[in-house]
Amino acid sequence: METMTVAERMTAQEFLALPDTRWAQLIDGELVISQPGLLHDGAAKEIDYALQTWARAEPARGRVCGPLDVQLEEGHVYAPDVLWYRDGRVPDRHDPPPYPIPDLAVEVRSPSTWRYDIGVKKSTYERHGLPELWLVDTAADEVLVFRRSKPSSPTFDVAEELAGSDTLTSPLLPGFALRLDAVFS
Amino acid sequence: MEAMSVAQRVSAEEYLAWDGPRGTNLVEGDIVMPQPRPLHPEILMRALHALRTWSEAGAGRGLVSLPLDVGLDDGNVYAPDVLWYRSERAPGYDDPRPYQLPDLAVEVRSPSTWRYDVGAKKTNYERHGLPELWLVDTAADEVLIFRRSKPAAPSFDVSEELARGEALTSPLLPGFTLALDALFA
Repeated sequence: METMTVAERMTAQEFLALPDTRWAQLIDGELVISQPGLLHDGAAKEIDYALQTWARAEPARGRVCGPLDVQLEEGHVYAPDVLWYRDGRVPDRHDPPPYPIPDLAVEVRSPSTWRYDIGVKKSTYERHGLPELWLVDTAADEVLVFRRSKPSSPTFDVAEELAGSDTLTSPLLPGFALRLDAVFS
Repeated sequence: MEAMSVAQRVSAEEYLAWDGPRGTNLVEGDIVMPQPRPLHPEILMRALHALRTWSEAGAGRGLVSLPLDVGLDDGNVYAPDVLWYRSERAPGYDDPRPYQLPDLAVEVRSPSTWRYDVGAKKTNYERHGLPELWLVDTAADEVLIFRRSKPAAPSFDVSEELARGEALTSPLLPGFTLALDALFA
């Protein structure tokens, strides 16, 4: 098993005071630890690489990072696999965690934590105004994109489901294009 | 493409008066037509058979049904792949469409409509008080379960992610058990 929920409830403050929160998240007050496998690692690195390449190609394209601790509310400290902040919202590099909600969060499927990604994490991201979420389904070789039709939309009212040789693009990232067969090769 | 959204926004009333093919859904005012892969009906029938076998094995075990139009609000009329109503809430044979929310809805993954199952449909089921939702992920051979810790819980605050080797049970269905190895055989 690559994931465990440690039967321990804690506050965000207690979570952030842990000596090591790598691979750990606080979801609904519960400590969830996952140990990513190669399937997860491969997809996360491809997306990170593509986003980094895009972001560095021109100025003012923000910053790609992650996983970093992002606190959404009490009991909810997530570590998206990849985060992107648009120019103007990039945290100062001296800022300590937790970091503000990014403009794009990428979550890659690991066995047994996917229920959180499509469940409470997606709902909480949606409620806290995350502009765009990519759920990378390594079991189906698909990417599910949830975004808002306009910045003030209260919900993820636009959904895409990309597979095969589809290309992932985003209105947030002008000029960015990533073929899915590269992500899942 | 295995599913299509008809680019035409309609109300629940117009949708229910429409003489289109069954098995469609009205999601946020869009008509969504899934075209299942061959595997989908097979897995759907296994789930249906397991639920019917359980339901007919004792008195007062409610009604199991193939897709029925379930009205949530003016933009949303869904046809879950399998529905279960507990006895006192089961619709009568002469009741007109749309039917009320079931106590359990089962959605089986079809390519390109999964984004609705995981996205808007799940969100609306949750908001309208569905007690329990099973998402059968045919790409991962997993069942993702969303339920409530108590009937009045405002969200799906309990989730499970079951894989091969495990068995599906539910507090709603005493004595029911479905081995995932049999479901995904």
